[in-house]
Amino acid sequence: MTSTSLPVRATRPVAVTVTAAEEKPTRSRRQVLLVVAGLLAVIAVPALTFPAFWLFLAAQVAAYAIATLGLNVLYGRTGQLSLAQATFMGAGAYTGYVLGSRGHAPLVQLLAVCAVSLVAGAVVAVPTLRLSGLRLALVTLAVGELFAWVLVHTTDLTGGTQGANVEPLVVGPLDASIPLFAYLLGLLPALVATALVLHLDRTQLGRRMLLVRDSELAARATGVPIIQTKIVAFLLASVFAGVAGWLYGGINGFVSPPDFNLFASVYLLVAVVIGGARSVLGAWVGAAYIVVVPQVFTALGIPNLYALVGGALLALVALLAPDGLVGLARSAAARVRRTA
Amino acid sequence: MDGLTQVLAGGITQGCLYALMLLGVLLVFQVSKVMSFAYGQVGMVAAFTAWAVNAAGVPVVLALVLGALVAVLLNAAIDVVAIRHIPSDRVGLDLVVTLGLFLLIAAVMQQLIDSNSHSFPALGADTQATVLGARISVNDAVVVGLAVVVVTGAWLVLSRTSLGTNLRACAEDADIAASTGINVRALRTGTWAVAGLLASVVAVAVASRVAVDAFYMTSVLVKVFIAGMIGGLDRFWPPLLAAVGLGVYESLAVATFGADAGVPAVFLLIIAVLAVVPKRFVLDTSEARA
Repeated sequence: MTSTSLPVRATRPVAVTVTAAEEKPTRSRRQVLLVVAGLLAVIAVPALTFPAFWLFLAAQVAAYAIATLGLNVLYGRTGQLSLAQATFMGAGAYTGYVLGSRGHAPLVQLLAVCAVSLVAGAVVAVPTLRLSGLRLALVTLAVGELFAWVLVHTTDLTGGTQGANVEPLVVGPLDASIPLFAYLLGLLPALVATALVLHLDRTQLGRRMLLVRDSELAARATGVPIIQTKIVAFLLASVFAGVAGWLYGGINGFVSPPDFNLFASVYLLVAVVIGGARSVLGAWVGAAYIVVVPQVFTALGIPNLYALVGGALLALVALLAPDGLVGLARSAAARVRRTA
Repeated sequence: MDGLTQVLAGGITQGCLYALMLLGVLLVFQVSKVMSFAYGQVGMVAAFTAWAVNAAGVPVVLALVLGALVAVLLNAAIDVVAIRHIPSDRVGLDLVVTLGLFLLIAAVMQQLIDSNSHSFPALGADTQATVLGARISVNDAVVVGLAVVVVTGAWLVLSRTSLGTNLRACAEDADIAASTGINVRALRTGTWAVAGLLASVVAVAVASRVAVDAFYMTSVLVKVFIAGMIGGLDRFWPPLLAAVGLGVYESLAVATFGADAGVPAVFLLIIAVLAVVPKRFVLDTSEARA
């Protein structure tokens, strides 16, 4: 019996880089208890110990964390760069503002925010992602500029350049004008978003995203629908950003165009890269950076340095520490364990 | 009729500015496979340097040369310090790093100058003559003439000289080019330097027309990128013609729908174009890294 074999072209093996955060963990009962204890601590410690101002900032961190988690899915896990994450935050914030000022209930606002984010995300992603990642970056940049133009030219609806006062978010007994409730209103959706992103690691979709990020060739070879995977990632990021913007508006009580312009999108990218684009914890670290660091610079009397430091950090961390602060901490911890 | 001629003249001038800027983007992209979001800021630094030096009493021409020199050195430094160190397998990292540089350069200039808008010397923008029914300024004529000369010169260099052959070899396969003795690194840094010079010319021309702040080149760069996307970043003439076309289109939109219509007209165009353009129109492989 003769056997025929097709000539096989030698190719470089594809290295799918899976970081510690992306490894599929097998959770023991003890680990589950640790996670629950950690969650309770995250909820209770700020609520019980933080003064009102810091509790208010913590609420904003939670809102921003949803946006950075969305960017974590899109950029960190799927490798697609969007410069419109703040734009989608703005779409959510202004949708909430318009509906809230007309007396619609929070649930209606939330559903509308999700619908608007999905439609806006689809309008951007479907024509763009069939071409290339570079085009996505450039088109999202253009969409951000277009959104800023729309805000400035619809003064009657959005308040224009002057911005608009947003009715505090009120869900049952929780009123976002009270810092403790604002914190809880921000934290609970942020925890749900965190759980969703963590769960993504265990799903086929999550693994497809990683493969698309690391090697589209390998993804294509294994039958992964690349464009669909990218579009789903983009839509997830859009909805996360929309909800984050809605919460931000409801907690902050005020929205204005600079909150959602190109620079806001770049700062979100700075946050995700600094924290660690491939890590859920990194998304939270990045959200804390984006809210707390400007306050620190303002307190020091040098608010303009925030942009300077942000730019330098983005370039340096992207070049020298691709896994961000969380990656650095994990490497240091691993080194200590090996030494011990 | 005169109104249409005026609109076309303004659009062609604007389009020539986009084309000059895009030429720098194309050179860098084709040789280094990198898109730099900091590119517009490099031009802004040149314009603000020239403005500050001129305000200190240095003659305009010398101030412009100094500004251009700063842009050349800055853009070359971006390549040497940052771009060279980006691993080739880190897809999209060039965009992230240059976004950081974009923010950093703008913030540094805001610290050195301020956040306000400034008016630059008009450089002939206020000296006008009527040509074929359209009022053309000296500044406009210089921009159009410079664009024609520079773009034609670049095409001749790329297609008729050994330097052009080396550049095209680098663009096609840097490793093979290096193995034949071509100094790929020097060529790449050279293209970044030339791009810096082009950015400085455009930034000074824009600043001579309107009051500007540290972020004024951002919208210009976005439109230049859009023209590049429409025409194809791996080609030469189509994107440059698209840049001129974009300027005319923008001018027509402003003339038809009012001064505020320019921004939505341009950005809706790009979304519409992307929605209908066939996939084969762009070469994904050449955009893989960027």
